[in-house]
Amino acid sequence: MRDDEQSLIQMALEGDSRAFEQLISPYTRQIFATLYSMLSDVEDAQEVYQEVLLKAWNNLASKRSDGSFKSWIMTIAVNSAINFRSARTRRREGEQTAQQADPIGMFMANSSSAPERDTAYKDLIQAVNAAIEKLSEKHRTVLIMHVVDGMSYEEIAKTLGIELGTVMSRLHYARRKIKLLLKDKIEERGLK
Amino acid sequence: MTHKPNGFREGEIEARIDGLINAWADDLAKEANIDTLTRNTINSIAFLQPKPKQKPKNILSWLLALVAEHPMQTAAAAAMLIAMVIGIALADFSEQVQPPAAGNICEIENIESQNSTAIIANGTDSQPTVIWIFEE
Repeated sequence: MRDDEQSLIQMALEGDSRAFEQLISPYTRQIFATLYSMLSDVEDAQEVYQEVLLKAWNNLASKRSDGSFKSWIMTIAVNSAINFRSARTRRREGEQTAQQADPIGMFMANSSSAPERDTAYKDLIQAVNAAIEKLSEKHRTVLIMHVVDGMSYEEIAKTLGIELGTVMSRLHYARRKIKLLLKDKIEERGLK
Repeated sequence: MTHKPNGFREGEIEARIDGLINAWADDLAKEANIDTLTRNTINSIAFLQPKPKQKPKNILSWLLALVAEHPMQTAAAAAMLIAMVIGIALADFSEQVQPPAAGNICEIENIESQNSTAIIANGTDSQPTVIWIFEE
């Protein structure tokens, strides 16, 4: 673990919430992307994200000093998402939904467009979103953890509690599928 | 450097796709107001619980922390424990059969009653010296 992270942990343990924010800030985007890839719902991901921060704050003292903070916080995030998903599945059991939910699509449709963003770029991001949506949850999670979170195969295997070979296999299939889905889009838009 | 038929250099598509996925993650975090959510959540946590839970250094400090955190529960548990110790100390075991002494070679097997198990010490099936029967 980095020295500055260790000193930030020490400061946070003494009650310095700004130090805790500094400690978390490099990973917020990664944590949220992983939660979203596992839950496919922005509001659910936001709820679990808050829970992750609370758990991290409460358990900071038990964080081993030699372990990676990123792996530690990502493990909390993955476990929280798994627990939330189980509870959500139970909650939704018996509920008859007439319409097929498309949370990722709904999120993109509802999102406000930044004025500086051109249509082509927005289209492209929506295409990425649609491609990510087409991946299975297991493939999507591994891909996001590797590409967005910058986690190594070993870190992903440890965080998800799966074999290293499984990580490599999932990543291979996820990459192959997303490449097929996005390749035409890249070429078509002449972005090369 | 090898070029594919589509004009992309080897690995270039993969790199571009990774870049797009990262752009998607940026967009997602921005739309979900992650920075604000992080700040508000940490402020709320720090307000409700000014310090993270501290890791106890040893069993004594752990016990003290437990008593400080749950005084009523620990007092009740301690009272129950003391009552159990007193009960055991005052109990009359004189009429009861004592189990085989430690160090004896024992065998465990079923005897006549199907629901009983016996420990036979210092003997065989035909000539047991001590029998300890457990009724189920």
